[in-house]
Amino acid sequence: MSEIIETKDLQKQYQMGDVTVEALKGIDFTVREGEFVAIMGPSGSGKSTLLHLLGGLDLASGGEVFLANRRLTRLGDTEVTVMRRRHVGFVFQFFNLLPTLTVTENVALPLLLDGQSMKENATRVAEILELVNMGNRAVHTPDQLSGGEQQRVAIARALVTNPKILLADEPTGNLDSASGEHLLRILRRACDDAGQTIVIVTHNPTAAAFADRVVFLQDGALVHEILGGPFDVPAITAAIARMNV
Amino acid sequence: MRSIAHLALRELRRSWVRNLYAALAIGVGIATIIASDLISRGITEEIADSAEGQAITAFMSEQLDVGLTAIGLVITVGAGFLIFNAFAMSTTQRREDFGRMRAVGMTRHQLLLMVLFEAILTGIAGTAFGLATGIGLGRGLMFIVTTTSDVFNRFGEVSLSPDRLLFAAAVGLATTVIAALLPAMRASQTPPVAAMKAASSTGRSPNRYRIAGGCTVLIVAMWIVLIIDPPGRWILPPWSSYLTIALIALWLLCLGLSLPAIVGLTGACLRRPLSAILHLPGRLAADNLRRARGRVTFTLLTLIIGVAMIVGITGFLGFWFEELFFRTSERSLKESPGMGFFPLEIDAGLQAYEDVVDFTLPDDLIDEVEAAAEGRAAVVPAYFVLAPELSFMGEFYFSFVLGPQSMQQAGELFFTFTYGDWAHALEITDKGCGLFLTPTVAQKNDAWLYDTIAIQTHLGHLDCTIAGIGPTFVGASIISDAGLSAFELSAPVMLSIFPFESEGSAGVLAEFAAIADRYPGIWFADLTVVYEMQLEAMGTVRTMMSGMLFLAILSATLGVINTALISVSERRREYGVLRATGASRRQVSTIVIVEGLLFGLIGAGVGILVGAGVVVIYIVITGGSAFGYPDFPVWEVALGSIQPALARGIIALAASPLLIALAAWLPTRATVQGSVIETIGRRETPL
Repeated sequence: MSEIIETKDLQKQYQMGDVTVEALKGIDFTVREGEFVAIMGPSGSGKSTLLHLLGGLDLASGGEVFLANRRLTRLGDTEVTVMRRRHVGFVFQFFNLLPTLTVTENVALPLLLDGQSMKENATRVAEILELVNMGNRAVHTPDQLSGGEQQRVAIARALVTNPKILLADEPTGNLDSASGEHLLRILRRACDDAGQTIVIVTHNPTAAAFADRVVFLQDGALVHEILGGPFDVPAITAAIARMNV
Repeated sequence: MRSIAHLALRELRRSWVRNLYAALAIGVGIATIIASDLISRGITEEIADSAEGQAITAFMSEQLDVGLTAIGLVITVGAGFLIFNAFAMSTTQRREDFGRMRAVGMTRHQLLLMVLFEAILTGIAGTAFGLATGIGLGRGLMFIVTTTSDVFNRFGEVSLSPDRLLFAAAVGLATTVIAALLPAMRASQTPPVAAMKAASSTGRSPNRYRIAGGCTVLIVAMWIVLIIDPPGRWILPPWSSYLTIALIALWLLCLGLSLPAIVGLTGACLRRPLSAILHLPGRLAADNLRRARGRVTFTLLTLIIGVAMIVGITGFLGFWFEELFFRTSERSLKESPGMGFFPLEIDAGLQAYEDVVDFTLPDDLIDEVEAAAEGRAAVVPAYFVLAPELSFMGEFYFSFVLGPQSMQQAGELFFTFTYGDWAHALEITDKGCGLFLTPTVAQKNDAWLYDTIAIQTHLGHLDCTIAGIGPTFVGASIISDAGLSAFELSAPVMLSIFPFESEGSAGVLAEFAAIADRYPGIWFADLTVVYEMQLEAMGTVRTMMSGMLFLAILSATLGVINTALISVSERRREYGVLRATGASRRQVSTIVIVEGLLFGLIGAGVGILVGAGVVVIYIVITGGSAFGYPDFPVWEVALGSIQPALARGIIALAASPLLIALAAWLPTRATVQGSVIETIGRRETPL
């Protein structure tokens, strides 16, 4: 399998008042096509920052990000936007659905932003809603859904363009364990059945256990990784304990 | 208490932009109230020393004061809506903060005080700004008027009256506190648990279409009745006033209650076409209109008030001055042209009043004119008095004292009978004091033809019988010459000459002009010229009003900018989500710009509807009957009167959406300029 995500000496610094915070200190990291990777680490270790830089949501202070063989750090905003729209799906911890749109419309959002019509994508949207078991809530608005349902809609939105890469930031962080597990199974299936590359950031060993590989970040640096997933949860917990992260 | 004040001050510093706009909006209203006092008193200052001078200028001054102060008050009320909106939005945004404060021990009372304290400080800042700039605004407006108008070319030097200063300050502070009270009370009800969970936002407001449906039925029924049988053709004061008030209230109430539905309906109707033209950004813009309709309604109200004031006041002035006031004058002067002698050069405008102490014509001149006019022209000596009972508007509109016989000879210029006739009128005036009034003034005194009215003079009271009811020259009541002794009038202020038709008027004119030349300071002019000057004076009044009305729009714009800023701040995360899912900066900006355009179009559109509707209802109901025109073509006049008003409204319709779209786009542009994660991740920064 070829590498679909690659970072070289990736750095990110923030200015917080007079203090410069080094969120990422030169990360070299690769993800192969069709791989499911979980990024773990304590709060403030730089996991979410890394994910945001991989998806072009934030600008790096130094180093390079290659996404599907394109050097992200050299692309203009419009090119990054189009790339994100067509090739990357995002899932956030807080669902981030648009309150005025129905479930169907929220799912179709990336397609609509791409100038496509609802009509021509009706079948695709219906399929993806069935995939996440939300076909019966298609005309509801987000305020009529539970947290788990909203997150499933968010996953459907991320998958609707059939993106090569799906990035998820604490996708189970706001869900109960049953909803969280259901969601992770959907992600695993997307990886196994559709060959999509999944990168998730999580604190949750149960979530990380679904991944093929778990990488650990501490103080802005990659400190460890374990291979050969899916894992048992105790294996993840043990790795965390060993590293004291 | 000190810690509460400290917290309020910190919040003000944190959200200084929002508070600055709110303070400016209040300031504009207060400045208008201050400026109106300076302008109106500037007209009478050094002019109204004599009774005649006071009679001539007091009305102008009072009406300008009333008109401009009313504009200032309405602007302030509009600013009150903005403050309500700004505080309502801000307290919603800060709900979690309030929850945290409650969780660590702040009482409801302390929370209420903190928010009110913020409002009071904003009000003080706005009021101080208004007081300081009001003087400059008044003087600036007077300077512009004096340099551009031939009539209002001199204003007296006046200083700000302490009463007006206190009034304006009280209005500014009271408006702010009242406007912020409800949001503050709502904030004080925040439970401590709010710190843990954000307020749920459904994005949709309750259904208001049923109310709007009922209102539409009422409005349609009202207009059908007004079209089929306009009350202006048959109704008389005071019933015309009652019906006007009732139907205008119905019109405003129905439009106000329907506003959320109008906004929602516009959003719903435009969703499909905007989606077709602009794709998703168009659709989201249409959807956003339907969100938080309460807030949208309040923001729209300020814009609607501004535009409705422009349209309404322009329409009313058009009706009064172009259709009603001079309705008989124009025709009468064409049928029987006249000339006039005046004690000062009226065409020099207010400058002519400078250093004039005696506003009456010399006896020698009167004798000479009367001798020259013998058998060749009618001479009408005119006296001006202030009789509050006979003032058709307020208490300071002047009345004429005229000789009935000369009035009759002058044709229809001064008076035309709608009720009564000359034979009976002359019988009354031969026996004592007779009055020639408009129906409005008769009804104001609860009297009608041949009833008696007691008029107070400084010598006592004078019983006068209504000898005729009908349209009078510029709406002024006429007292027969019995008023001369009752008001101790020794000499007339104006002498009008109406050559008999059989004589050549050119020769007569030359002869009278030669007489005038012999008296320094006496001005002799064709009455048509005087009439045109009055029209010009009214035009200047309209310009002054427009200047003030511009401030209403300015105040509304400040409010809309404020709301736009807060909205963009609130929706920052949403814009971030859109960017993360693939929306370009341009697409996000398009949503905001289209939303602003729609917002402006609805505000200006409904504003035009409100303003024009009020004017048309007033004209169609009041018609000309209040002035004594029973056969008044109400609909023709109504539509004619609102035409210039609509022209101004259309300018507002074009300008408002652009202004608001710009106001909304600027903060959005700044918001989406950074990286996506900056947009999505940053907590809403208070403005």
